[in-house]
Amino acid sequence: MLGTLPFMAPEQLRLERAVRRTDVFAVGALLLFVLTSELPYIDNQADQGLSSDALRLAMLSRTEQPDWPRWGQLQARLDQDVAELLAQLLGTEPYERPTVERGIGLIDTALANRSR
Amino acid sequence: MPLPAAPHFLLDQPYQKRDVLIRVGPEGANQGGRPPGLLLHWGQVHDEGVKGDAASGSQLAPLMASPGAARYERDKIGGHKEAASWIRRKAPSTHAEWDTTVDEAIVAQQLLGTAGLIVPTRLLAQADWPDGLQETLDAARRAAARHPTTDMSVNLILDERWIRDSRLRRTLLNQFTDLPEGIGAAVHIHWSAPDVPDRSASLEALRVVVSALAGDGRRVLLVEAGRLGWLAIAWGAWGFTAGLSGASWTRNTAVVRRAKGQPATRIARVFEPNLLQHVRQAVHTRLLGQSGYQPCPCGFCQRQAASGGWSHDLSGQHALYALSRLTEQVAAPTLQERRARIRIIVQNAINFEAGLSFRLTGDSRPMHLPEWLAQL
Repeated sequence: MLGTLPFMAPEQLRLERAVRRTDVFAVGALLLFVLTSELPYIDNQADQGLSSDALRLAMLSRTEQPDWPRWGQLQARLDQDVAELLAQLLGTEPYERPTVERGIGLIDTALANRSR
Repeated sequence: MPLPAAPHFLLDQPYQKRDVLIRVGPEGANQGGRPPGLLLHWGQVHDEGVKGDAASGSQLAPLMASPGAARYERDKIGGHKEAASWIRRKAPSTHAEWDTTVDEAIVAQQLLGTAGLIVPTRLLAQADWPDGLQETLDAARRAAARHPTTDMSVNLILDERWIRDSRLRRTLLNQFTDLPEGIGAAVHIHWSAPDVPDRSASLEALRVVVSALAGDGRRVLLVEAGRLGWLAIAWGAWGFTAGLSGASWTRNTAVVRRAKGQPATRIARVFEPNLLQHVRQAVHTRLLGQSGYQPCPCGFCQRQAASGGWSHDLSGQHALYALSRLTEQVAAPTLQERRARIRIIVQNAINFEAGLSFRLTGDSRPMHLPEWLAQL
């Protein structure tokens, strides 16, 4: 398993083979972090002091809970178009996310709309 | 040759009675409709038969060929004629074996002039999770790089647990959608029992798979799916095929097995587009006089009625013709419209059954309709 645990996609947490759309999740996680200081499956308080294995299991259990990522709280801190973009990039399963090419297109569109 | 827009219905090339099957094409055209396509099967028919039907099935379009096989290592098919070269060898397992199998099958399709190319695979059982799937898709990925085309599909031959079990299904979808964009799926599910596809859990699983693949921009052909494939058009399937052999053309006959040594009895059944269901011949006769019943205009039904007897072949041909017409009826530019049209037809079938002056019972009763409606 390669990468920084808090940014990892659900399939990586399950120790499955990464696919191209795993990178799409990572970009989404990075964007979320830059904009909110939060990560999709991290609980900043509860996860403090956990070992890597324990953190992976904690994150893994959250991937199976419908209220994670915590969009209810995050949406209040994000513009609607950004929240919609992140919801796509952070799809739980790779097949629910856009392809790398489509993901880049979505980000480009969002940036273009912001610069107007 | 490029593939036409959705939706499409294709006949499956059976080993027996191939000449009977091909007559469905002209009948569709005679009625002012679009003839169905034809899916040739190297896994079921010897190489000579595949090539012969490719030449004689020109009234059926699109013409496609399934090179995948549930069983390999078969020198002869039907006991006397050679199978295609890749079917005669053992199932591929190494990179080199996969690439040879794929290349031979693709060249064979190119020589036939098929619409689109289908990458051969092998039957994936539950035990093939996850490495067998990975090996298969890696071979498809290499094939796409060696044979660039816009109309390539991978022949996914799956034990039903691949779609019923959420863990297997998740891997299937995650790995398949990792293939280069534009690669489609020719999905052939091996169900454990004939009525399984009509049960809600199976329908739900199939809906998830077809919707996910189609939503990812993949062309989905449901092989040997029969009327279930028609329903799957509402979920985004590009097309479907009828089912193999005279006995199972959309299940037009039920066979009752007798004790050893006694001949099997074939029960005459008619596919009723009004009910999206096969009914017994006696029930069909009663339905003819019911209010709102739409009689089938096809020549097969007319010949059946004029003969005064019963022909299983004519009943099978009618069933194929009817599925072809049902597919035409739901042709529309957008998926939303196609789904709406299918919903109307399913609802009409429910209403028609509710308005009958007698109750349908046993295997003539369309018990699947409420389940179908719930998935629309």
